[in-house]
Amino acid sequence: MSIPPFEELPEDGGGGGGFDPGEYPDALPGLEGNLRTRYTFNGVVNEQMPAVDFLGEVVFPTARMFVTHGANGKLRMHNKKPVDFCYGLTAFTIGQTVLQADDVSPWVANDGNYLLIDPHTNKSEVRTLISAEYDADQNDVTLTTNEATDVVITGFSGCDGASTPATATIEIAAATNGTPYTVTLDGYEIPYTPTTADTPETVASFLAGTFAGHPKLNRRFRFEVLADTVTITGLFGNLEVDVPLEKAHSAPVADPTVAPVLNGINPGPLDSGPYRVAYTYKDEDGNQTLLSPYFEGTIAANWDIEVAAVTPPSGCTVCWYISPAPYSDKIRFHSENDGSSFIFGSLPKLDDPVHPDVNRTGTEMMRVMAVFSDREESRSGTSRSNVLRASYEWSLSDQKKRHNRIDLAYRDASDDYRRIELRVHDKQHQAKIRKVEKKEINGYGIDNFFQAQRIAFGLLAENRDANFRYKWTATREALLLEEFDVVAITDAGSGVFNLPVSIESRQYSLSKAGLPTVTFTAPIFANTLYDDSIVERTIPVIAEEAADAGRTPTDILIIGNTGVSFIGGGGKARINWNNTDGNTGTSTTTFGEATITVA
Amino acid sequence: MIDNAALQSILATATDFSLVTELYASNAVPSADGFDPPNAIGLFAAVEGITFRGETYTRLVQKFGNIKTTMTEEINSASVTFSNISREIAQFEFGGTGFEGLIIVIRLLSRGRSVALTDTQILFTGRCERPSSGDKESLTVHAKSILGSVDVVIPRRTFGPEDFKGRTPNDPEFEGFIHMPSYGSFTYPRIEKRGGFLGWWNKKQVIATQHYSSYSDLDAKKAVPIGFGRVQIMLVLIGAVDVGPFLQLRLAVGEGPIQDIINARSLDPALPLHPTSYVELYGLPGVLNGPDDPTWVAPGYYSRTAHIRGAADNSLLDVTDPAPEVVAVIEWLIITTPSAGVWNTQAWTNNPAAVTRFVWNDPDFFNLDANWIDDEYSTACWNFNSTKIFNTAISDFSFVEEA
Repeated sequence: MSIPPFEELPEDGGGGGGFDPGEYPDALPGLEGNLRTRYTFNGVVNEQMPAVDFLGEVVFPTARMFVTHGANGKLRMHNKKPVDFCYGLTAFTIGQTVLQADDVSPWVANDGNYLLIDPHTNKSEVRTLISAEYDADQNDVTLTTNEATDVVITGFSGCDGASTPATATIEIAAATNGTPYTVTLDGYEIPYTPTTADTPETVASFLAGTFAGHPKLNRRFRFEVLADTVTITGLFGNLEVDVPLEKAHSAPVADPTVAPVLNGINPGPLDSGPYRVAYTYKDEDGNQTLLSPYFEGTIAANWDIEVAAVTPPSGCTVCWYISPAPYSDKIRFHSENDGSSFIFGSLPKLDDPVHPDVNRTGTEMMRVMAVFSDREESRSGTSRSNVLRASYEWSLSDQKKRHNRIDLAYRDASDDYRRIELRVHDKQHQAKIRKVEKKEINGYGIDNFFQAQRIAFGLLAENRDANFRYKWTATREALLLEEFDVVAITDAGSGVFNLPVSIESRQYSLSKAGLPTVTFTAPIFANTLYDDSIVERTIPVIAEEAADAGRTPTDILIIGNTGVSFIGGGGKARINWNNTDGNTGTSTTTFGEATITVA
Repeated sequence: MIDNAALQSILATATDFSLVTELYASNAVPSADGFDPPNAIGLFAAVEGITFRGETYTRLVQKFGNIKTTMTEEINSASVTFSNISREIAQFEFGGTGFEGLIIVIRLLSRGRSVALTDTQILFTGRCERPSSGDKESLTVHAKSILGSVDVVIPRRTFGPEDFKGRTPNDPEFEGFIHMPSYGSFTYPRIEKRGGFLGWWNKKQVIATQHYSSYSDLDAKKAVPIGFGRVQIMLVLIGAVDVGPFLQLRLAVGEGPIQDIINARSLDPALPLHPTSYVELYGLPGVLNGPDDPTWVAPGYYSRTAHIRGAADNSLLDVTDPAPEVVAVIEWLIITTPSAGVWNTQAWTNNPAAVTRFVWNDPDFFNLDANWIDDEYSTACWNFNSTKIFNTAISDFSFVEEA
């Protein structure tokens, strides 16, 4: 099995057709046509508008930019983008302190701040980093080619098992038109065939961009191109934390390596033609592996497709994918089951979820700039509360409407600059509330489908999943935080532990002309909100049960009557309690026909 | 997060914090460490005895309002209420200086431990608005972010006849649009029917005279377009005249200097653009936007306006044809781009970071001194935007193996 060779594209694959590729912006020559500049602005203003609005409503949406005043008062422009993050390469057990990860480079350069482990799960914990080191196994990574004369390889070497990574280079000495080449990194082959438009420089750029896009390589290696040479740097290594883990974190689930097997066809509703079928595994946290190899089969009209059962790893389910139409080069999510044999009796739509672009089943770890907690909490690495008392609150909808559709109008340069309105939906939410709440985005600075798609899906995720804001007040070192800093929130009273949020606004209270307090407003943060992916992922807010949940009334000893208010028959009771474990606390509980038995 | 260990230590442990406010001239600019009190024109605090950087702060602050900073569309803002009991503030406001337009800084410092600028934290930097009210006891000054305090519009001008810098029309750098009508006549032979059976046998050639005059689509309410990157637009008719076998055309693209005009074409297949009678002017200032042809319709340099001078062929002799609509792909403004991290290279670009920096820095827009812009961040933004990434919209199967 192998992936098909890359070739020069006849046109912009992301848009319509008919235009000479050289006529649309950023069309890159030869094999480089498989790449695109991440964000461009190609727009004209022909009606006068405030320049602030032009930047905020027209320019910034094309590149997910925002502006702040720095600590020195200067203006700073930023992109919304992922913070430093990595995925665990193995399971982490309770008590472990050295964590093997796919990219430790950000922490080798700067091991400050905090490491949030397994965010958005009930296993999250925060630790401080002691050290970060590259893995000496980087020196053993293989890099080969089928044409050693034209493609000059220098293999991996130089990793010292500490702060120096291994590097390798690919120098393109020649790019002969029509010659099939392959470059294989760590067992993953990139086949390509140059055209007359190619030069060593375009091939090198293509290789760097394509390796960087390869879902099985891009997390563990960095690719940089200079003229005709690609430099590959190993990134994987080990992170050592200060305090042993107190939660177990699961190992990444291996990508399925076997294509689905056709079990048969039955009379059904599908049209005739070839279909592609594949599957992923989905772990307990809702993360999926990469797609299995696909099976392609052709059926006559009025049949369906039945695939044989597959056996997922323990704790996983199987997500089935199929082409949304015969002859399509797309594949979309269809259904999820336990791996039993499955009949595709219908087809997904083009706007159904796309397949994962990265295997995210490993334990995610990310850098957070601070941790806020309302109490001492070992999971959060905090020894005391560092928020002002009773200042935590969260808002579900008072900041923005919960938009479940993004309408982004852009012009497609590859289609004679035709105006196109791209709509992306959260169908589940629309079905749930039986209402479409759309948000219109001015995308006239965008001139290609690929960029429009990334912007629109990112905004939908930001407006849906991240439209949950925490608000709290703190002081002292908290004054150093700035907009878009990501911090972890532990609001034990609400059962929220280590929730990553990104600071959106700060309000300083200066009433005493001395040390101010600052009130932060911060929506939920996830790296997947701001990467280049369009894959749909749920970002849950995990509210864990209170420590005293599940206790029977006889477990609770009420101490004294002072401060206890109790109304039977549906009211509330606030009680100070201690129990036979020696724990104490305050609980507010709603009772029905309540009876409290005093032990 | 502000990465400053000394300040972090001060914030964590100091107990002698004070807020102060500083006023700087309207054209002051921050250094790498921010504004420096010795350069201020006013230093104020809420308590007596505060000195920092060798300067003493006057106790005139009655109250600091809340400061809000945000990354949303909302404009950062702050306010300070000064005591006017001593009348110093009234004198400051009425005595010539005035608060409006001054740069205001609100700083947090430790009276005992803050020595260097970096030992303090600037909570707000902005520009003062004109105080809306005051009395014998107090005067409150509101301030907004340096960007929010200026009413700047884009595009900067319209196709009106005036030059916003007051230049006269005979100045080559005049940037207004005045339509100078041109008119004339031409003669041509015409066959006329003179009766007879179905008019077949009685025809006569006569010399006909056709009068013409130029016309224009210039509209004082229409903005002169400004663009970035590469876009396709319909050009604006500065002037046209049907001189018989062809139409003379002069068409505006918009604000210059631009990089190129590509594939200009008439949308009327009956009136194609002449392949060689065609000149592109890229919107340079004054005479650089030439040479002009004074015999062509609507002559002039049209300083800083990119335009083309061309002709539409196949015009009928006996009718006045309307000018065809002309579209072109424009590689628009040449603006400042970074070279090795230094923003000093003029080039065409479609990078949104450069567009943003241009609008902040250009004299026709926010006109902020380059020192107001933290270019370390501009460069990071530029690099992030310009990274080439694999186009996953091409196919869902780029990296998926086939069984």
